[in-house]
Amino acid sequence: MTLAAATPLPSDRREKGHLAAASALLTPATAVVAVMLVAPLLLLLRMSFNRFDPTKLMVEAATAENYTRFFGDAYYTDVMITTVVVALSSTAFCLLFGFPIAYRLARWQSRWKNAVMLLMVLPLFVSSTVRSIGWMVLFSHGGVINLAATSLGLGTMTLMQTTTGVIIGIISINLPYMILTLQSVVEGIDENLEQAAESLGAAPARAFWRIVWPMALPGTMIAAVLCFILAMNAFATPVLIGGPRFHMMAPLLYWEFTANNNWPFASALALILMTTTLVMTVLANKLILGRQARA
Amino acid sequence: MIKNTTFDRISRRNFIAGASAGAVAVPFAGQSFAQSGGSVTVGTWGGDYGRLLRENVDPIMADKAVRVVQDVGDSDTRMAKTIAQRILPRGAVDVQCFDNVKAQALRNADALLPIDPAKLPSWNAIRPEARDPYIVPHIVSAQVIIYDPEQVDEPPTDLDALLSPKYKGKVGAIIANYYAFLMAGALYRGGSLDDYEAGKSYLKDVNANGLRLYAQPEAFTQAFKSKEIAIAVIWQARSIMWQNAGVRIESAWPKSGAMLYVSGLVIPKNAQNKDAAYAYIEAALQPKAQQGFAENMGYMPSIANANLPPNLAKRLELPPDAPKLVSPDLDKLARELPAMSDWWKKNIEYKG
Repeated sequence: MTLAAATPLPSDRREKGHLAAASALLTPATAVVAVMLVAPLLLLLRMSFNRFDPTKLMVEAATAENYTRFFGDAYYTDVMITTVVVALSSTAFCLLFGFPIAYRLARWQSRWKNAVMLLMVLPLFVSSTVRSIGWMVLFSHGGVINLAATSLGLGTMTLMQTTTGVIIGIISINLPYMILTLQSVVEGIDENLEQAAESLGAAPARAFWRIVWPMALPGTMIAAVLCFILAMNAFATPVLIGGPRFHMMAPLLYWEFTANNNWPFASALALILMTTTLVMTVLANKLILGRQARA
Repeated sequence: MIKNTTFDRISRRNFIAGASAGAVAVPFAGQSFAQSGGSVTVGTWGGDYGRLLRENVDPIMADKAVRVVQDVGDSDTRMAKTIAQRILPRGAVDVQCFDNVKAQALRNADALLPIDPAKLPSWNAIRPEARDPYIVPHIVSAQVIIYDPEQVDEPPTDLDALLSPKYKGKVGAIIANYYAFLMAGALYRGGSLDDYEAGKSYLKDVNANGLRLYAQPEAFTQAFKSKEIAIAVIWQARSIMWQNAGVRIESAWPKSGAMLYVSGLVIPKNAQNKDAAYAYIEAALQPKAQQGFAENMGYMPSIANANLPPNLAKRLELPPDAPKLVSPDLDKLARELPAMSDWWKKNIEYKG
């Protein structure tokens, strides 16, 4: 071993010092995450293996019965399928409606741009519960949409307590997140690249599909994942617009926890919902971004 | 195990008479806790019930220099908290308001203090049929059929009306009332509140007749107002409240009998201020406090000496051909409730 190798250079010492400082700065945040997120999740996992007893609430055990109950009962798997279908549909529509708006906003050079951006953010100031109640007024029996459809001779249009109504409600809540995320993604793509493509003879649509879309795909995935997670965990909209007969996972686990006081099964439902969301997100990322990388 | 209590043929005079006859009120005085001061924490529903407790019971406690703190929440949540806290030496709540089914579940969980009648001067004023070793009954109501007279030509006489093709798609229910609805069906079809299978088969038939479900009482009354529904089964107190609010409904007693709803006050066994808890319960049993609940919410008092104004007593009295008023086997019901709740969710609520 040479002397030079054994004695750290001043630059190495500086780097180590920076690393130590960075570690020290990261420690509080890491500790907070560990205590506030990881520890409750571990507790949730432990509780999901306990047994429910109506008189004692929860009995310490190490049983998988809560999981076998979920996967062995068609009712629960149906509710999960409904949740996934609603989440995928609402995310697809958010993307369909959100991308053109985000693209237009990103490329818009106007003094009104900030005002329009503010309009996009404005719905986020109102809670999802209040917005769902607004939809209830529109959708309800004798509500605005129903009356308009009847007066136009289209017959009765029932959207309350339907899957379509719930999807519309979730789209209205998630769309601002999609637009705001995509707008910043598109703004990060140099407009000159599109112009270059067009100057080389590509039609605007071709320039978009060959230049903008591939570059926006990672950001678009993030926006879609955000909307998908929000939709998978939707609570107020399915309860208020879907009504008592429309069942999704988040209201179901809330009901198991509060009304039935079945904490072990509610914990299992929470973990199953979280795992399903996580697995679908990872798979989508791998499939879509992996395909893009191969291309 | 608690057996069925059948309020056999309680005449209208029998049930309300004591309340309206102005029986001698039990004096509320001379108790050591009355001078104790301090505070009492009361777990209760919010809304009208919590407000009426504040308006009618808290002033009596204020006279005794006892400050009342309300811990407001749904009964399911408060029940979970009570069970979870039962192993602690000192509980956070001194008095909890529950219906007798929840109280039974808490009793089974060994979370309640047995009531000591010696500490309640009004104990003897409580209707004998409503007395219980673990819950002091506060308000009482019976299940009736309610209907919109503009949509229902003939007043219904029993629960078969809800199965009539005439009212297909016009039958409503509040989901929180699921077990009471099931038990009404059990009484109608099986002759006993405890025949759950008969109740389930009845509910399936009502569901097939286009049962409409509502998550909140407000949505339910709105459905009556908009003529979306025409007929339902509900507590009589609710129907009186809604009539007072201008909803066009009438009520009818089912021939097969009516289940009694009893809501009351319990003391968690680890309550910190047990004396103040007894003082609070005693205050809730005072005629003035009971009158407030009868006037505002249409509940029958749990004491025989409530001294209701004649017009109110007449409104709450049972019909001349007094229906059979029955209570369920509370122990059986408390143990079966989670399974019953699952059954309702999967078989009645879920449309698949």
